[in-house]
Amino acid sequence: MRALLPLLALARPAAGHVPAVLEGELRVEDPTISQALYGCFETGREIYVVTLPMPRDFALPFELLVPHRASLREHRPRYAVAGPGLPLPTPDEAAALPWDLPAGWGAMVELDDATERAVIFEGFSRRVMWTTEPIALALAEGEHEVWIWSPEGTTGDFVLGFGVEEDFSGVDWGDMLSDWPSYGW
Amino acid sequence: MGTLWLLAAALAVGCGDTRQTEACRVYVDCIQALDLVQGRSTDLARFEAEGACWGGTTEGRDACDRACDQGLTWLQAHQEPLPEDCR
Repeated sequence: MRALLPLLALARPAAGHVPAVLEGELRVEDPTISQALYGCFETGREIYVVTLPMPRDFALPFELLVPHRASLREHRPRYAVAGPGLPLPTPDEAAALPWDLPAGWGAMVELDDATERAVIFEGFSRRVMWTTEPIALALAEGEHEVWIWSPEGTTGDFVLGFGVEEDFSGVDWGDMLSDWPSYGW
Repeated sequence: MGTLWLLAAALAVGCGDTRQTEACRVYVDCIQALDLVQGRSTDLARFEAEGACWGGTTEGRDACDRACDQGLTWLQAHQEPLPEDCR
C-alpha cells in the first residue's frame, strides 16, 4: 500500500479528475468539478446511469475510456449524455439508445464506431487506454443523465471522464487507496 | 549574455503552449451565439482564453482542443437552427 502513495502523488496533477467507482446508478452532486468514474461490465447487460444536476448552464468535456488490452479489443461500450436543451439524436442514434428519451430531452449519443480507435496515456491510473475522444457539450441548468451500456454484451472495464476544473478537497484519500484495485487494474 | 537571454526567454515561455486553441475559440463563439438564440448564459470559462484548459499540462490542453473540435462537429450535424458563428 505504501508503494501506491508516490504513485497517487504523481497521478493527481497529471489527470486532475476526482476518481470514483461507478456501480449501478450514481448522482454526482457537483458536476462542475471534473470526475473519473471507474466501472466494469460484469455481464455485459448492465446499463449504468450517472445523474448530473447542473447548477447552471455549463459547458464541459466528456470521454469514455477502455484499457488498451488485447482481451478488450472488442469491448466498445457506448454512452449518451441526455437532458433538456440538447439537440435530438439522428434516427440511427436514437435507435441505439437503451431507452427512449423522456419528452423534451435531446442527447449526444457516442456510438464509438470509428474503425481505428484513438489511444491515449491516462495519467491517474498510469495506463494506456482506448478513447472515444473527448467532446465538449453545453448543458442547460437542470438534471441530465449519462447512460453507459455495452451494445454487443461484451464485458470489461471502462472509465467515464468529464470536466476540467480540479477540486480534491472532498476526496477521502483512505477510500481512494482502498478502491485502488478499481482504478489501477 | 546570450545564454541569459535564452534562459529568460525559456522561463517566459514556460514548458508548453498555454494559449487558447483555434478550435476552442470557435467553439466558445458558437456557444455564445447559440445562447443568444436560446436565452441561455453558458459558463464556458474553462474553454475561454484564460480558462483552466490552458494552464495545466500539454495533455490537458490537447484534450480540450479535441473536445472543442468534436463538440463543434457534433453541433454542426445536430443543431437546428445553427448560428452563423458555428459554421
